[in-house]
Amino acid sequence: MKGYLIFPGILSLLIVVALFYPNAIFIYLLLLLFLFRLGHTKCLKVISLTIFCGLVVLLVGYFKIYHVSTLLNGTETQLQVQVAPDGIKVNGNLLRLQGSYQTDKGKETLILFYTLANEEEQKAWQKQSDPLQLEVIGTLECPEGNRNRYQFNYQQYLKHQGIQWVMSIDQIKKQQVNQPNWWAFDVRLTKLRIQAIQTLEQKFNQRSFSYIVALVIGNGDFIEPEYKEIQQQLGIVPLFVISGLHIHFLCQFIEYFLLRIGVTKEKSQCLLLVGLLIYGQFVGFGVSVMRVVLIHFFTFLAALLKQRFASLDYFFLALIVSLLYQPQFILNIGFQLSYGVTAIFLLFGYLVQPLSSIKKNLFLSFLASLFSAPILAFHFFEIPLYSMLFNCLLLPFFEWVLIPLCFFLCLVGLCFSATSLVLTLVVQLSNGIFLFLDDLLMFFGKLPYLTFVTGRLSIFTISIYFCGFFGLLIYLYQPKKFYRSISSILVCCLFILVGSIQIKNYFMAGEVMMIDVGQGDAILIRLPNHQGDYLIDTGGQISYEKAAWQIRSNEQSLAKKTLIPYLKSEGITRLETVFITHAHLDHFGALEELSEEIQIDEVVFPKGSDKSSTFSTVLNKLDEKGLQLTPVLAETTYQKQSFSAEILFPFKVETGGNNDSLVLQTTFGTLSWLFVGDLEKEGEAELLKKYPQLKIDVLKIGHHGSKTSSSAAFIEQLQPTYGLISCGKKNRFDHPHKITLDQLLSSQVMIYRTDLQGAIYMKYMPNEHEPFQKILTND
Amino acid sequence: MTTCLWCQQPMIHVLDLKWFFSLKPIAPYLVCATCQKQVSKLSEVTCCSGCGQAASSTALCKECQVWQEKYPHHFLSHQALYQYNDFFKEWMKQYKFQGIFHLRMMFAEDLRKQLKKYHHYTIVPIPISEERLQERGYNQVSALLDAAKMPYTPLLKKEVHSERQSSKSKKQRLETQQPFCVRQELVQQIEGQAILIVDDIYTTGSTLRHAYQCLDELGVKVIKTLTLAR
Repeated sequence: MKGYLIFPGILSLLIVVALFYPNAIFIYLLLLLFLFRLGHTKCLKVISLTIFCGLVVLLVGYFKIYHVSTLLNGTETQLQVQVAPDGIKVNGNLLRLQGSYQTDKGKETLILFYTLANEEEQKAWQKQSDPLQLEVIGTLECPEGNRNRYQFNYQQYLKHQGIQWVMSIDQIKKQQVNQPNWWAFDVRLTKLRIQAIQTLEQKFNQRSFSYIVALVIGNGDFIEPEYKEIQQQLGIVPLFVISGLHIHFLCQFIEYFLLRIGVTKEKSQCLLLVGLLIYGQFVGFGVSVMRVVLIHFFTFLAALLKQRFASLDYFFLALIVSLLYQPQFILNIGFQLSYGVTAIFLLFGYLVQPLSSIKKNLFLSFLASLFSAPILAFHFFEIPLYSMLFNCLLLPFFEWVLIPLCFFLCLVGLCFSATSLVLTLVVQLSNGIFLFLDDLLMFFGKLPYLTFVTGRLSIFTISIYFCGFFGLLIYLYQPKKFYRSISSILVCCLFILVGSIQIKNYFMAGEVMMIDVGQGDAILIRLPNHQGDYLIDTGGQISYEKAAWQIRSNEQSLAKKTLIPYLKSEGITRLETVFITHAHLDHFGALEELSEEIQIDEVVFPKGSDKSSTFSTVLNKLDEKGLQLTPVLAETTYQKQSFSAEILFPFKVETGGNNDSLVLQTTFGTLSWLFVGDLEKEGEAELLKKYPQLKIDVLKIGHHGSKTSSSAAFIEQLQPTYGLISCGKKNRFDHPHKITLDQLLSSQVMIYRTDLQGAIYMKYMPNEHEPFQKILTND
Repeated sequence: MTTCLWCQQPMIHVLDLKWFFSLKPIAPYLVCATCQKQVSKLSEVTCCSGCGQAASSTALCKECQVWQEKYPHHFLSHQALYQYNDFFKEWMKQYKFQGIFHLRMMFAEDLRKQLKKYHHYTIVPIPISEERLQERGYNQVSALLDAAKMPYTPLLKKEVHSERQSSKSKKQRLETQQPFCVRQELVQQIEGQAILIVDDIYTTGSTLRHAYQCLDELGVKVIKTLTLAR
């Protein structure tokens, strides 16, 4: 079996992927191919062990992923929960607890949210490092699924961890410290970690602290979103998760030290085994740390048993163990990059050996970038174009400077008091390095053409890409023609990627998508065969004043959180036209940020709405960038390439209020659509007066379903078959109003609502259309 | 733990990706990567078309030209698998003269691969005399062929028990008289077939030429020769 652990490793990997993506046919094909190859090894030992391992992974994975039962029925309002010290997260005024509810039937994990009332409460929770027993009053809810296509699915994410309920706490009735038993080392170590993080946070500034926690403990939560975005765009995310060099050196150092003081080799290996486990528990077994710890653990274990395996064997052993421990790790980008890039380095290490050190570095970052490109594209919908260059530049810096430095800082920070001379000196010195790094990243982040937007890649595309990547590397690479072979591999890989995206676009049906932007409107129109993308309104948030302590660190604007990622996930980098129906924030709020990331050719808005001061500031900024701004009035036909829409309203220059909304009528497939913005009863009456014969099939219900819109006469005249309402879940305006809903029902209009159903969409081709579909599945 | 057949050090198996993406079965590794490096394969370099020695071109080397003058009718087309270097000298010593029989496995796989290319040839190993067989316990050439799992016909026989070739000087070797004769009972079997003569090593080429001559006289049309080392 020695040297052949790649077989059970790959089988386990394929099985877990198949468990998570049961619809990806390609995975089954790969599985069959793999089994075919396995059969041809003609080695009974390898075949039987591989199949056995695969079956174990399948069973464990199946039970962990699908066999989730619950002890709660959803009506409980008062619960006793135990919270581990690492289950407490304070973010602005939001407290998030991961607790377990225990009965004699078993134990169930659930997530609890609590809005902190004041700063003192926040401080108290931030200092918390003990395991707690809480008695809380609140309401249980099912976690929410994704509301837009390709968006993060919180429900599934929790389900894969065996969590079925989320509780919003109204009141914490009782709170007491649960002293851990003397044998509960894991709880004690977790507590130690929390305390260590708290100590580090006090002693270092935010910048150093975030790097130390990210690189030593493997927790990237503290890195500011701004820098996270830059790291992502530069494609240097793998740097944060691949290195295990520090643990390697630390182990060697300790072993050497123990040998010097007279401990036998066997004993020192035993000690290191235990030490590694303690270290792993201390840093919390984050995915990348877990990999390094496991690989070293198996290496020492094998040495202790007088065995020696190839390094790939230890790697695959670690992979199998972590997949058994938590199969959902495989969905984690850190896991994918960390294990993937390590595997690449181990598998193709032999290619590197004869190269000079510069070429070696270049080749490794070339491999890392090419490997991580589709993974980054899968998660962030874009590929960093210069990642090879940046990885090449920064890899040695991370390995030899940053990681050892962070380790050193962590030790110094924990050993010396905040006022000591040593600490102040070290902090001052190291700060320069971190500052330099951040400035460097900032500088790189301003370079043009950083990323190439690919849209969400299918599992099929990714599989094809990886097959091509491995095939090319194995059969095309020639060490003697280094530059020629790596550039031809690069070109081939890009060709596969771009080709598959283009083919997908070419065969694309048209689509009208009412994006779920909460309270607001945003409707994306994609013409068939990639003929152009249009947006009606952008959505936007009305922000409220908040005290400094209440602001959540990862809070992002609607544009950054929903709209831009969604458009990128569809592979959209350019919008032909953005229509703004009127000058209210919930319709144009995201426009400015949108224009920074997505190229907009033209903005169309009703004449007069630029009188609104907020809207005109945005328009001025867009004007400076050279966007074409087109104020329009009825009655005209808006025509652009193969898209045309009738502008039915407003007739005269007004101020951009609800009743001055732009009204668009157009046809998709065989259906006639009317988009009315926030038009209210007065406007509707005016519209009817002008077009008494107007009939349509689909109506975007005015003003998010408010009772001030959709008058009986209007609905009865238009006779829409479908009514689309875009409004926020549990919004403060109570939209849609019951009167409107009743009115629509009595006119036999089929209603689709974003607040209940998530994004609503319809696919169409020039002469046909599919039925409406919704994104949210738990209606 | 598996150890290297040659250096006796514990061996770590390194995965070969080309192997993984093929349909080849798992074959036990015999020699570690370090020892493997000491063997230099002649298939990767240009060789003399006559004697198979590494050369700058495929034209006949000087030595072959001398032979050519001497025997204008014999055109030897020889192929060797490996270069005869210090490592091979040591290997020969251990395998042939110290009787470390299992070393025959070291090149079995390569030999088999090479012999497969001569699939329509009848393989004839160079024989050793009865006395030498008694002394050594095995014919080093047929043992190699056995290890490579290739069928062969022991067509030749060594009647004269002479001194070892290896203990003779070059001059002595070149002056050796024909030591081989044909087993008449097997002649019918090889009627009209091409023949590949296999030996362990090609030094001056005299042994192979004697065998060549022997078969040539028998009227065999196509004769080729192959050795492990050159």
